[in-house]
Amino acid sequence: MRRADLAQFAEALAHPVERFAREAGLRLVLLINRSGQVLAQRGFARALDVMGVASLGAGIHASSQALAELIGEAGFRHLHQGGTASQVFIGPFRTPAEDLIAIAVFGEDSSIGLVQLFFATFVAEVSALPGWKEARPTTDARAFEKDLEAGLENVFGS
Amino acid sequence: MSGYAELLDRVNRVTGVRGSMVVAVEDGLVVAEELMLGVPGDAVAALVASIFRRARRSMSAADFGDAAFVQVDGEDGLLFAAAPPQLGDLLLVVVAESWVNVGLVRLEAARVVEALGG
Repeated sequence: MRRADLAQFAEALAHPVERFAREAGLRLVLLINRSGQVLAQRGFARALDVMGVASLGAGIHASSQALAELIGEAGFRHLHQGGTASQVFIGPFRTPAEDLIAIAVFGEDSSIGLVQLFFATFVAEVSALPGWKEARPTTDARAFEKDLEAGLENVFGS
Repeated sequence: MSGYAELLDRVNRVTGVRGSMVVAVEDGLVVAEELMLGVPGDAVAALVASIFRRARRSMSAADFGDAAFVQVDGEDGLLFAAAPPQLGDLLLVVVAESWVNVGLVRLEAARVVEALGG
């Protein structure tokens, strides 16, 4: 699904995203929907980085979803990749209108336990937002790209 | 009974203790737990591990060596975390009433931890 009212809705998402980042001690956070639209971000300085992380995160999520189905699971709760200095958390979740994916990058100031803890609060907060209406289905790859661009324009300006 | 289960069981026998856990310091995840109903284990584990990591960094910055013990007293309860070398990168986290005899809890924990290490 892609949002028709992205600009207004992104404003409502800014507060929960900011809080999630602050409380969980995150370096970067990105919130995208399954059609690649960037709904919110925090910590990224360049649109190019957002595009890369959004595309790769969505790809990882799609692969893990396929793997989950292969072993008879409906899906995984989240994915965690631990590095030496940075770790990545990819948390898919449902809202009343569509599925979203949160991609969070954190370092030694945080831990996977903390991220999981505050992710639950974040999901509840985002799901309870009143703006879950204006969404339209994404039909093809071109629409996906268009949605991604629209999301980037929205968070970084055109 | 596993080593960790025995450790937690012994600590929980002290009057006023509401539960205890073995927690991974770096991840803030629960490895083993014995908690009373209503104690939010995952949340306590993540937050206490975070406090402990910061305490450890502070001790290191002050050149005081490694942090061994952190205690947080509240009006209605008390949290403490101990990192005995025998537990490696794990913490013993205890959730207790504010009036608990901390010395006794530490003694009990030290006894079992020593036995684990031996």
